[in-house]
Amino acid sequence: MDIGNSAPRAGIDVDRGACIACGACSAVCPAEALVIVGLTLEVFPERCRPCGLAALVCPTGALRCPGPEPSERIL
Amino acid sequence: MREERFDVVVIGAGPAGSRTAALTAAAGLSTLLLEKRERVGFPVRCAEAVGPRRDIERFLPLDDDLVSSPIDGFALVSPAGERFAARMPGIGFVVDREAFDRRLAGAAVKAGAVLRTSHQATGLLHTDGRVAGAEVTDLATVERYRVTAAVTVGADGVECHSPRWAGLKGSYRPAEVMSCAQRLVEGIDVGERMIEFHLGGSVAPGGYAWVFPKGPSSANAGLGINPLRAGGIRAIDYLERFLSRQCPGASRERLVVGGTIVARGLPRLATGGYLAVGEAANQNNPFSGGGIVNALEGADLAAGTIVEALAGGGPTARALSRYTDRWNRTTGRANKRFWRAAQFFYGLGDDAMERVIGRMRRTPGLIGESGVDPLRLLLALARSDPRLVFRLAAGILKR
Repeated sequence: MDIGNSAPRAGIDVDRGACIACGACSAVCPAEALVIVGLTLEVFPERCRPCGLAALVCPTGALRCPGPEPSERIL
Repeated sequence: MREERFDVVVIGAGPAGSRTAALTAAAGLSTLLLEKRERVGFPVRCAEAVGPRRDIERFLPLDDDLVSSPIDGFALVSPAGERFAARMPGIGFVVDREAFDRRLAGAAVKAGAVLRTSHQATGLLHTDGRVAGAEVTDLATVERYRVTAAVTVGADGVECHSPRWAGLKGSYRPAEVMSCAQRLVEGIDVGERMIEFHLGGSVAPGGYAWVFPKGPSSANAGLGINPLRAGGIRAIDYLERFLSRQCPGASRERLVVGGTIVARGLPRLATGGYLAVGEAANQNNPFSGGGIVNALEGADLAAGTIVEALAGGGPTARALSRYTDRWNRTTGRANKRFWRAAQFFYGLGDDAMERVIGRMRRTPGLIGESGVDPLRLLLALARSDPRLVFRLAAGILKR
């Protein structure tokens, strides 16, 4: 997957062509930033602090954190 | 694309990466240490408890500014709230992870490594079926460049893309990770400086909640859950529930979410031109989740193997596989036992856990001078439920 040349930002990129909506990412997400709605994966970027767990368990490699956790997002 | 050349490129400036870089640089190898964050060690994503000071002092001098709080004992809290406590001064300490990581990265730089923060590895380079370096993005300028290296070290932690890129590991199953959330809580009484572990399906299903003293009236309070046993409830929700019950008056500060790998261990930690170290190599303890000392141990073995390989016939898969063998003969072996113990322990239902902790409370001499007496612990288990001993023995002896 091409991660592109855009500036890094928080959140997670989903390759829609590769995502099979299996729910593994949603199961491990500590913050409910990824939810399976019907047959598709919905991402709530405002809840995501890119910890990497979702990408770790994605069986198809459809998820990618575009950048590190920015310091200003720490609550 | 611009290209640079180093002997060793290390992905990730956590304890594993910085320690590896310090040792390869000290051995005279040109070493590049990449860190995608702006600041080494920040934000901290760690509960920060480590064992006795001597465990760390094998690797670096432990100045007082790295110690947030000593730990003078531990307590297990059963699902029903029964408490088994053991006072053990010197059992460990809570480390200031940010300062600690910065100290280790500083040591790497002092040894001659080149450290670049805000530089993220976005892929590996391959030549002749061997890993030959990394593709890197400078996150500040968004410039992409290539770093060729004789050896690439994957120290990318729990996010560990690089072992996947190197073909050492596919995706993890959800049961192989603990989903975690933690807050710094302030305004609580940590007078006895005990670390607390809270167990039970309603507190932290398939894992545990912790309260580790961080300062005179503050603590890291968090939990890790097995996502498959959590009934669809998230770690942050379990955490808020735990805090409401456990420290209702405390103010809830800094939230960190993330997780840790609690897998059985990678079958291979290295391939031609590449090796993984630290959590990326599953070197953290799969029972406790702790991984700082293990990462430093792994780094020492990794760096030793790299130096040896580059002085000899080169970093072939065969030469670097000695690192896997060395790990498996030492802490890797212990980790396999911890993994089996975790399968047993976190698989206990609340009732069994209640009985075990109740029995521990009634077993005299369970804590000796050197810690928990394993024989008496086994006795306590047997008295709470003889079948548990068989299950434990079967689990640990199983290959």
